[in-house]
Parts: sequence; structure tokens; C-alpha cells
Amino acid sequence: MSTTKVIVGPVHPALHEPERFVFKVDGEVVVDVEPRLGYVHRGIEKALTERSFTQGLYLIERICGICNVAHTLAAVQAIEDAFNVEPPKRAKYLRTIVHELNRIHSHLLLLGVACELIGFDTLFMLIWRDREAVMDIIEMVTGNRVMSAYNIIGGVRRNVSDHEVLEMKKVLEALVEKVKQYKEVFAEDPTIRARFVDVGRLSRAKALALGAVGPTARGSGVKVDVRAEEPYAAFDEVPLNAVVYEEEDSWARLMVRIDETLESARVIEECLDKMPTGPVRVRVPEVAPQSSEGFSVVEAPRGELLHHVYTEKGNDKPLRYRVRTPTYANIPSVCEMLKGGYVADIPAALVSIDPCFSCTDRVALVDVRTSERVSVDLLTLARRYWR
Amino acid sequence: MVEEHVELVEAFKRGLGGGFLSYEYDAKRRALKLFVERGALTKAFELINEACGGEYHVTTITGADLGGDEVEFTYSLWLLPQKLRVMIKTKAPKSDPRLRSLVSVAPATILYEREVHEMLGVVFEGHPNLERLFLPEDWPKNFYPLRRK
Repeated sequence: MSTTKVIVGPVHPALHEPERFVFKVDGEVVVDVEPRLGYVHRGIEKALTERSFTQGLYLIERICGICNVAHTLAAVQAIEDAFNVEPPKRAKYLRTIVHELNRIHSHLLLLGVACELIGFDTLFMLIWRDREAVMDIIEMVTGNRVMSAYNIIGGVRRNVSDHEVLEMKKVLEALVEKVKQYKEVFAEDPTIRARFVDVGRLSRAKALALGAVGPTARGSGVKVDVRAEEPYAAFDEVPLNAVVYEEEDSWARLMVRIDETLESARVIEECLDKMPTGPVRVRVPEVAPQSSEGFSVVEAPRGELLHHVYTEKGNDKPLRYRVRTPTYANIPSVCEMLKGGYVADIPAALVSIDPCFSCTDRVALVDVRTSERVSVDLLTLARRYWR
Repeated sequence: MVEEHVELVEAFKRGLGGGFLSYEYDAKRRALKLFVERGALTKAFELINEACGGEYHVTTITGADLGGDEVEFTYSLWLLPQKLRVMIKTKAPKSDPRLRSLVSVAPATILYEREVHEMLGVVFEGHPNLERLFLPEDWPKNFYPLRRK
């Protein structure tokens, strides 16, 4: 059988971030896929071992702009685990609230993008219009629209007032009504069903074997949701109902996200009602009090996110910092989804895992001519001509 | 420690013999750390597979060079039926950084092994395609960014 190679990327109008895919196609059918990662690799894991814990937190947040809260939450939890520090209860509730607000905005963003990719621009505009209300409450609570810098080691950066609680409830109530409408549209609209149903199939067995995470796994009937199974922050007191769909296709993965948006809104409302009063942070030593290891797993909007840190007593920097992001875990699964499908269905399958390549790729500088390792500081690097 | 978690530890002790070193259990987080010899890794995964009937999820492999003579590895797993976080820990000397590839037992490790390989110079014997993953193609050979001197 003769196959043709079609190279998509690293820069391509259909991709929102740089990544290269080599598709082997036979006529209209994709036979094999070869991804090439690393175009946005920034060496963040290495850079983190050269920064103090507090400074590192702001870099961690920049691993991914969209799910920044999930990254800082996993980081502060891992560092608190290594330091053996317990944050106050109210802080845990506030972390949960902002974490879920972040998820709502991320899911709505993806649903909009999915509509845009199949040419349904009206729905894309409507969903993104409603997402703005969530961005506004994130700004109200944290002070920033996108990079919230809300979680800090030992708690959160600022408290919420009663007025803000009321405002949040009002916005969420209106949002839930809108999302319910969108759910009907996604469930019934013939255009959406024609483009997503039975596209990008991933069987439950494959999803499990290839280590799929988040909505990608849950759309294939695998019940893995860190919030429900390994509760962190306030999830032990505000239990979450994991959303699972059995359809194993792109449509199911999008439906998981719509239902999760509704579930997140419910969790936030419950948190706002149950939230205890008290302090929102405790003082934490700047240097590691013990040589230890800390890890934290959280459910980021795209799935399970792991942060793993090694500390050394008396050192204000981590010895090793490891991040495993959800899109990275989903790469083998997405290759599986594309195989056997049509070329025209590639965008619909790809968008259904909500790919975030900045997350997946994370600089050590090396002179390629001499293989010599060079360390430069940030200011030198900023001078552009650093050699 | 719940009974089925004790069973798992016992199965490891029986199955791995001298390859099993020790364990730690964190009751609050339901996390179990199992320390094993590097030669016992494949067998350890087979035991996990048996214990949960294939219903487990490989979160990742963390390779860490903490400055000593050895590289430390953590295989992080989630067992669905047991609802248990398992971390299988092993070490390999820097002078001979070799491990058996687990791709045939756990296909999800395919990219993680490549990443540990390019970042720490660990050779996974039996990996179908141990090429670079994130680093550019012209990256110098035998230079591993996360190795300490």
C-alpha cells in the first residue's frame, strides 16, 4: 500500500500553537501519525532549580496561561507537602473556588474554539461572550484577568469580601442558564453532531493503556478524576461528581466539558456557602526546613497534572522539580484517535483533547558548534547578543 | 492501612523476593511508596497489572539526579479499583544508567521513557524508538540537561 506523507506544522493556520505532525495518508484516510514535540520547550524544569521557591511559583504559573491556577495549586501543594505545612481551611476553600473558575473559563474557551474549527462561528462568539463574565469575576477575586498569581505557599494572596461572594453567585447563576442552553445545542444540533459524533474514536481499553487523562479519558468511559478520587484542597468536604461519557468519540469529550462546567459552578456555589471564616495564609519558612520530597496531583482543566519536588534542608531552591502536564499524557491517545479517520476530521479530533503545547514542552543553553554548556543570566540573555 | 493495600504489599514481597526493598504508606493521602531493585521493575509492573486487572493508569516517570552517584526514578501510578496512588521507586548508578523498558508491559510509558532518556541519559533497553522528544535534532550528543556534574 502506498502512502503519502502530509506534514502539518510547526506553523500552520489550523494549529493555535507550534507543533509538527507528520500524517501518513492513504487517499483520504490517515494511516499513521508522528508527532514532533518541543517547539516551545523552555527548559522550565531546569530553570526552577535555579530559583527560590517563591520566585519559581511565578515561573510555574507561566507554564500555561490558560490553566495557570491548576499549575500554581499543584506547585504550592507539592511544596507544602515537602515543607510539612498545612494551609488554613478558608484558604483551601478559596483555592478550590479560583481553581474551578479557572476550569470554567478554560472549558468555555475550548468549546468556543471547537465551534470555530468546524465553522460554527456564531456559537463560538456566544460562548466566548459568556466566558467574559467569568474572566471578570476572576479579575474581581484575584486582581488579574488571566495570570492570577492567587495561590501562594501557605495559603492564598487575598481574601474575598461578602459583596464579592454575592456578585460571584449572581454571575454564576446567569452562566449556568446559558451553559444549559449550549448543552442542548451540543446534544442536538445536526451540524455539531455531524462533525463530532463517531469522529476520533478512542476505546476505553486504549485510553487506559495509553494513559489518557481528564476529559479525554472520561469521554471514553474511564472514571479518573483526581478531584473525586484523590480529594485535595476543599474537595474532601465538597465532594465532586465525576462526569463520565461512554461514547468514546470527540462529541463525548466535548459533552464531558459542558457537564463539568455545570458541575464546577455547583462546586463553587457550595464552597461559597460552606466556606469558614479565618485567616487565609500562614507564614512559611523561605528555606526548606527538611530534606524531603513532595508531590501533588490535581485535576487541571485538561486532566491530571503532577508536580513533584525534591528539597534539601537549608536550601531555598528545589533540587529537582518535575511537572507532568495533561496534554503530554494525551499525546499517545490523540495519535490513536487520528488513525483510521479522515483528513478532514483531524481538526475535530485534535481539538477534542484541548491540546496545550506550551504545557507539554517546557532552556539550558548549549553552543551547538562546540557542545559547550553556557550559563547566562536573564539580563545578559535580554541583551540579545549574549555572546 | 486498608486490607487490600496490605495484600498488595504482601504480593510484592512474595513476587519480588530480594528485589523488594521496603515500603512507606501515607494514610492521609492513600499513597503507597514501594522501593524496589531496578532489575525487579518489569515484574513489579506485572504484579500491579495482576492486582488491579489491568485497571491502572501510569501518571509519569520522574527521573532525578540529586547530585549523588545514582539517578532516582519514581514511577507514579493510580490504581482504579483500589483507589490508591502507588509510587514505585528505584535507583540506577550514573556509571551504568540502564533500565528495562516497560513499553511492552505499560504502553503509556513510551514518551516518558524517551524524556528521561534525553534529559538524564538513561538507556531504556528494549524501547522501540529511543529518540529525542523535546530537544532539537542538533543538540550535542552525550549532553544531558538535567544531569548534575
